[in-house]
Amino acid sequence: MADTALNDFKGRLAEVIADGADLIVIPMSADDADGTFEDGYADFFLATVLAAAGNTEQTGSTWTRKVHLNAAITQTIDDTNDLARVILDVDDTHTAVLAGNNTVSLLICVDGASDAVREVIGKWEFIVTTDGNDVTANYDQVNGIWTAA
Amino acid sequence: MAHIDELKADLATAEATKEALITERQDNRDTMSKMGFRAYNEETRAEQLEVEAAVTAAIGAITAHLNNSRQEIYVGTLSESDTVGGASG
Repeated sequence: MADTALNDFKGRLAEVIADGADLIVIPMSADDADGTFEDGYADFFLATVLAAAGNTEQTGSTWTRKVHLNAAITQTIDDTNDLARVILDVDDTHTAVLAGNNTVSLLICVDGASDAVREVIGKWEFIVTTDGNDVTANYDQVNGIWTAA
Repeated sequence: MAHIDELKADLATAEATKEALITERQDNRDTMSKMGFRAYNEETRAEQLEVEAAVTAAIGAITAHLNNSRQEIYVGTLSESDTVGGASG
């Protein structure tokens, strides 16, 4: 499995963040194969993606969705490498996640009032075998979660 | 050291404050113009950062209290130029 985006979202994220969007991070216990994930759904809304048989949100133990407010998201232009970058400034910590509540990936979406309007950006590999201890998602503070060339 | 129930109550308060701000932002996103929301977003950056910091601090207090080990899982960078897309669905 690779980190990969829905085709529908490519080329849009930097603009969406500049417009003030918040992002929401969703732990997943199962997800579709990359090729299906990229273009296998009728639309890019979270409700649609989660309705697919291959995608399962991990809601066990202390796993929760994490919202990143816009001010805690850095949208920057890297003129040295000619890239736009999106960086999540704050890591996500889930406390004391009990064994048997494993994850394979994180979905990151543009937040909204409900899953019917939340827009899935993509999925990031996040393979965790839980054992009762804390789990932290460390977001890359240099390269970010997203680059667009 | 504070009792774990007090720390959890602090976290619940911080998360409720954040949830209220998220709801306010969603409402404004629905009712404001695109430029209006951008201006509102800029005006409330300090508040957003304060709310995020409060939640982070509350979680940090709980993790310090529990003194659990921690799995630090790196989340990588998705590069559009490296992403192979299939046919449009």
